Parts: sequence; C-alpha cells; structure tokens
Amino acid sequence: MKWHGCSRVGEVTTALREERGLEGCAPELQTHVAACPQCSELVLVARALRRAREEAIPRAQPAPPDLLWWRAQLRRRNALAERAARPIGLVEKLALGIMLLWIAAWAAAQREAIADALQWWARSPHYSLFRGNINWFTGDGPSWLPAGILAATLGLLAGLATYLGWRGAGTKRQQD
Amino acid sequence: MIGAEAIPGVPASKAAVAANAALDAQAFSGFHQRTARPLWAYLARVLGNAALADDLLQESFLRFLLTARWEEGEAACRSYLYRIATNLMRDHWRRPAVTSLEEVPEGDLPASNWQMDERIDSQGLLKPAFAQMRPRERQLLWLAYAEGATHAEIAQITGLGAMSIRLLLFRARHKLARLLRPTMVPEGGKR
Repeated sequence: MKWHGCSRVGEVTTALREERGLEGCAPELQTHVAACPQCSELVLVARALRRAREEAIPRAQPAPPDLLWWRAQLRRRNALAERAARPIGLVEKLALGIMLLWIAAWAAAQREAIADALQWWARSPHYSLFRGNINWFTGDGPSWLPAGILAATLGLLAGLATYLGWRGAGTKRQQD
Repeated sequence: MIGAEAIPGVPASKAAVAANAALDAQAFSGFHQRTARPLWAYLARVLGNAALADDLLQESFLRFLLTARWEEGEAACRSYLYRIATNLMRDHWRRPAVTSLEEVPEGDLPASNWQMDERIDSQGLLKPAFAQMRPRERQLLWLAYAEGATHAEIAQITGLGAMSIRLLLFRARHKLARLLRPTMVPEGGKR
C-alpha cells in the first residue's frame, strides 16, 4: 500500500474545496480515490470535518456586531486615556521628587535658623508642658537634629499635599 | 481603518468623522455576519468547549476591531481574525492553572479530557476521534479541511512555517483517519 507521495492529493483537495465536490469530478479520479489509501484518507477526513462545520455553524450564538463595535470603541477610548495619563503620572512623580529635594535643601540651608527657633521655643513657658516627653531635644545629640526632624516632617506633609493635589487635578482632567 | 484618527494637521469635520465611523460600522457588521459563525465553529471544535468559544470569539472580534486594516481586503482580514483567535487559544492553553486539576472544568483541558457539549455535538464519530488529537493537529485539520484554507493561509494563521504545514497536515490527517476508521490502517502501515 502506498502511503506517501500520491501525486493526485492536490487534485483531490481542490475537488473537495469546490462546490461540485468529488462526486462532480471525472470518474477516473473517483476510481483513483477509491484505490489510493492516501486519497481516500483525505476524502474521509475532509468530509467528516466539513460535515462537523456545517453542523456547528447553526449552533453559534455570536454577540451582536453593534455591541462588539461599541465595546471596541470603549476599549479604544480607555486605552487612549491610559496612554495619555502615563506621562502625567511620570510628571507627578518627578514633581514630588523635586519638591522633596527642594525642601531637604532648604532645611539644610536654614538649619541654624530652625535650631534657633526651636531653642527659643524650648525656652518658652509652653515647652515646659512637653519637657518630660521630649527632653532628648536638648540632650547630647547634634544641634540640628530637632530642626531636621521638623523640617523632614514638614517636607513630607508638603510633598504629600502636592502629590494629592496633582492627582486630584489629573483625575478631573481625565473625567473631562 | 476602523475608527481611524484624523490625520495630524488636517482638520476633519465632525460630520465626516461620524460618516466614516458609520461606514466602518456597516462594513464590520457585514464582515461579522460572514465570519462569526465559522470562527465560532473553529474555536468550539478545537477547544471542545462552547462557552469558552463564545468568550474567545468575542475577544477575537474586539482585538480585531482595535487593529484591523480594512484596506487589505476581506480575505486578509479574515486570516487576521483567525490568527487572533488562534493566538487566544494558544494563550489559553499556556495560561498556568491557578486551581488544582480536580477543580478545573473538564472542558478547559486541551486534549486528554477534551469534551464537547450539546452545542457542538456532531456525529458521534468525530467526537472521540477529535478528542484524541492534539490541539495543534485539530487546528491544522480544521483550517485545511473544514475551512478550506491553503497551506500559506494556515501558515499565516498559525505562525508555523509554510514548509512544515504539509508534513504536519499529512500526519494529523493520517492520525484522524486511523481514529475515524481503524480498519483502514494496515498492520505495520507507515505514518
């Protein structure tokens, strides 16, 4: 039995693809198909699959094209909005970073003045209320430590406020 | 192209944009009518799961709409749509299971536990035979013989080399024929 290389496989495939099918072909080709294992195998498989396709097609329940169109438009719009928002997010992060750096630099430059202000505050009568809890401020640590902590706290709060402000503005722009 | 943006620097009136969109929507509706059911049959038969085929059909069209190029013609669009669907099936099979095997519905398993539900129930002969085929073999056979795609089209859809299609198809066809008609294969017959 011949299993490889039948020269008429292409001919049979073409006949199967056409409307007339194998039945509409020359009797000689039909005789060949009946005798050739490879071609009869091809016909068997092709017919089974064509029949399966014909049976499956009426069972399909595709979504209406209008709905798909609308969903695609929505997805496209969301993708565009997301793409547009990407640089805004980067700018937000950059702004936050710059703000924090600026605050840190300012606090470093002004540490003497901040330390003086804290010492003045420590000498004031109000400070006595907290003396028990925060006496390490006047301990052996570096003189700029209290000023640094205060500046860092203020800086973080300012940065957070700026970040939230940017986020709010960005969200509003997206909604518009 | 569907929903094409206005050409930069060229002012386009809203009416013209709306008219183009309406034309595209109409073209898509016709294309959808011609391709949705055959594509569903392909997905359902290869996946063996009608519900999953519904999902992937919808996702295929959505992705197609986002990237389709109508100017390339219907045949190219059709091939492209089938390619999207084929890639979605591949992604589905590659996706790692997050649950234990016992919890996975049988229909979600690609080959060994492959099953068909009543919506893709066909003649009883093909069902058990197709269930024993590999997903790639099912794809190739379906595209070649149910859809009547050429080797070049199959290569384009599946991403396989055009030269290897012939051999893969020959093997898959022989395997399916043997499963459909076991008595056909002689003792010691070559594959």
